Amino acid sequence: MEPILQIKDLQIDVKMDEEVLNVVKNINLEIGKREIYGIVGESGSGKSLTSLAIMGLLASPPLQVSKGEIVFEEEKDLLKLSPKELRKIRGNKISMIFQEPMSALDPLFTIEDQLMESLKFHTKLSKKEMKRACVKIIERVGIPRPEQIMKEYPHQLSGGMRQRIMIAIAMLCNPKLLIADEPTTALDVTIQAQILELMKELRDDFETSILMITHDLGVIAETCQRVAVMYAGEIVEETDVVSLFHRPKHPYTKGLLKSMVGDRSDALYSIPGKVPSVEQMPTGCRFVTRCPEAMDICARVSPDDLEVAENHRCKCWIYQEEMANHV
Amino acid sequence: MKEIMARLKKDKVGIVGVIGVGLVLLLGLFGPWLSPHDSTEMYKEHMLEGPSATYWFGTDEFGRDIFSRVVEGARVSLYVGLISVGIGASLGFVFGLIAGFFQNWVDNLIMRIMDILFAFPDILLALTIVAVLGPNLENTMIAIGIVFTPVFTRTVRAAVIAVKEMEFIISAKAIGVKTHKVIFRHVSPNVLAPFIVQSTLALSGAILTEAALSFLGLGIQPPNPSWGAMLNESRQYMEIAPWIAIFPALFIIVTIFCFNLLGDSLRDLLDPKLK
Amino acid sequence: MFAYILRRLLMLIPVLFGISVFIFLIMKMIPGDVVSTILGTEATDEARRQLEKQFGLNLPIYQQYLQWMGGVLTGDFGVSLRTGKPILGDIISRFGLTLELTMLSAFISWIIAIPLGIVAALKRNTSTDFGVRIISLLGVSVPNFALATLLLLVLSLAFSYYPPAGYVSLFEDPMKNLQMMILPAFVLGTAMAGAVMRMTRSSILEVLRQDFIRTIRAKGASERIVIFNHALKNAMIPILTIIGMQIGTLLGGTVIIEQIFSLPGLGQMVLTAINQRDYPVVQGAVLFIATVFVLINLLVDILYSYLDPRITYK
Repeated sequence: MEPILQIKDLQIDVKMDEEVLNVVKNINLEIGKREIYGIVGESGSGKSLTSLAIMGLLASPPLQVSKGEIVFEEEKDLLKLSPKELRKIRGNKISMIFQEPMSALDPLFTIEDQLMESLKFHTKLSKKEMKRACVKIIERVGIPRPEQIMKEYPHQLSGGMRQRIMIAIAMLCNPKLLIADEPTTALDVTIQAQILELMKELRDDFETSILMITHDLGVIAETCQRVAVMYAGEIVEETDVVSLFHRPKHPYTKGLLKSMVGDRSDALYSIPGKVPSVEQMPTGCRFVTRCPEAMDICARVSPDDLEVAENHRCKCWIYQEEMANHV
Repeated sequence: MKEIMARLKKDKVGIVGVIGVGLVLLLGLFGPWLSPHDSTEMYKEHMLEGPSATYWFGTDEFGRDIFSRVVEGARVSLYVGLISVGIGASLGFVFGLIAGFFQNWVDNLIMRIMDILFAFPDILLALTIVAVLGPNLENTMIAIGIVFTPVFTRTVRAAVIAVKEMEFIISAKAIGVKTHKVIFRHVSPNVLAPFIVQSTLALSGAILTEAALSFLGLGIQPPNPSWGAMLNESRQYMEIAPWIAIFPALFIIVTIFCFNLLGDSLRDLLDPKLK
Repeated sequence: MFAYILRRLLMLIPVLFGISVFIFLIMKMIPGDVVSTILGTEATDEARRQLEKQFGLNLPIYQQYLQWMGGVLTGDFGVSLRTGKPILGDIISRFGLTLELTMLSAFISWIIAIPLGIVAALKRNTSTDFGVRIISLLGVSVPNFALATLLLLVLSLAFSYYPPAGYVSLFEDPMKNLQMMILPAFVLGTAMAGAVMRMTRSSILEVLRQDFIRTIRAKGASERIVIFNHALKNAMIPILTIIGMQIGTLLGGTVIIEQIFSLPGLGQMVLTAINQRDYPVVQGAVLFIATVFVLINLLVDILYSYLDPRITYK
């Protein structure tokens, strides 16, 4: 499969009063053309930071990419582009939608203004053509009476409608990659399903790859082909969706699956403890503090990223020991 | 409170404010022992003399020692400032607590009256009140106190309403603690933070208003020294004797500036989201 | 929109009523009576009674209020005790100057404050930001009369410059008028600039933290567009609030500044009337100024709803 985006050894640090702390480390992943690729993890796992790094939208300072490459369309390293070059790609070839449809639109501008803005940045269309493009995309994302909606302000629309508008803005310039950061978290369950369905349709129509960032394994199951599980700033497991759900390797992934609502055990399981803060990151495996299968070595040395099966990577001492024994 | 003190220590601007305010306070407290001359004594043979070893800041048109007058002026400024903010703050605290706690017609009445007071520019309101009561020290303080009442009332009322929504107040009421006990035991301490910030800022405002009133001849009456009045009197002579304008002006500016520095830092400390 | 403005105007009536009652009552608290002020204490009872009747002072207090208010509503503010001339005419002829001074000061303060506030926000926690913070605090702290006095002192000593004497209205000679107004307007404007600067800085920072700014950046907008098209427009709403409040400070400041620069405006009129114990003039002029202040704040509110589509005109 041809990759649209390759992230190689990405590392993000945060600079706090003279001290530099690591928040995201050793990120390696590849998103194929027309693929929906998921990143799943709890809040604080670094999944949003990774997506913002792709867009060049990390709040810098204090955040900074300190290492790695983000290669787009197999040619450009996004991290090496000038701000101007990056702006040409942003909202055009790579676009993004966010979690909070309530606050993600400027309250003082009409929907039309906010759609047109994107076209103004990236095309040389006449005003009439722009308007036509806007009407078309609004219809495409499933909003009736586009002419009327365009004259309204964000506060006049429901959450679901706003998220559709956000998707419309993102799709307006026919992007190669759409990054969706928790696109359905703030929405009702029924609307969630509709939005996910819409995104799949758009992927087919526009041949767009989608990077789906979520904490919800349900969303992953419904939309993605491949998925990376992130924990405390690292990818701990990466594989195709079927393998992930049927043959999870990492204890953290197992815990996540166990805590899914769909699992009808008596009490809802949750992984004990919480994600360690940046200041208190364990020296060895970052999951050691919450791992039910932790061993002595886990606390001391960080495990390597290993290919544990075909197209299945996992970062855990259990498998490293196993592999070592085999050899 | 300890945490606030610790953060204040890190804030250099705040420290300058604290030191400045401290110096002005010391000047006000120990002024009479510092000043080499009597502030109203006229040295007829030394009129409009420039700064010298005897008259550190020079003398004015009546031959009075400007340094002594400036020092005495600090006393007057602080006295008026503290008392009038005291008046405004006490009235505002009481009205604000009542309005915020009951939130019924009493609240409505109080707040409408405050709205009316707010509809007057500060100086104009103070001027009118002083004009009516007659210009002197006490009436100046009353007028400024009234001017600052609405702002305190609003601050306290807003804080009370915010605090009232907090869980522990609701639970205190639920277990049957009497209304007035709830107000004084629980609400008052939580209202204190915004109240302190407001007081510091109001102090600079009050000192400024007093100086302005005195400048217009409607505040502290001669021969008592007031920075505002001194500055006003200086205008006729300032070209030949700039020092009589410069020193009082400098003291007004520095004093108000230090109070504002302090108030500003306090506000940042207590409301970090503005930082 | 029109209905909204009308409704807001109607809502002003009780406020203005309250203001007028307040002014009226406070003027009634003046120790001693107007009659003795005019006639002196030696006057005959007959003369006193006649004058009391003339001013309606023999009536109960609520009737006196009604009489005054009735006059005010029909454009009759009464006459000056000193000159005997109608008060309203004098107010109106002087209001032009005060309004010009206020507007000019406000304008000066914006062109100083808003750019500096934006710069401070963008360069947050740098020495530039710190510098702007100190400038704005100085602006708030330096009393207008002290700044005016020092400014005049420096100008006369260092540059032998004196502001032109003898007031000329804007319509007679705009250039000369502007020459006279620029210095007082600058003095008033700097005081207002401090507060506006602070508000600009903090509200720009607040807006830049919002989610929609990230959306706009994600669309590929340049920083220039993010700041000027979106952040500033959103920040204008809180900035407008502080501007409305500061207009009161400006109007109050004109009392002092008009005195210092010998400008025959409304502020000077109030001050002269207070010094001459010409109470009907004080009463009328203070009512007028308070009304103007209230109306300006209404204007700000209307501007608000024009700027912010979330405010409904219900």
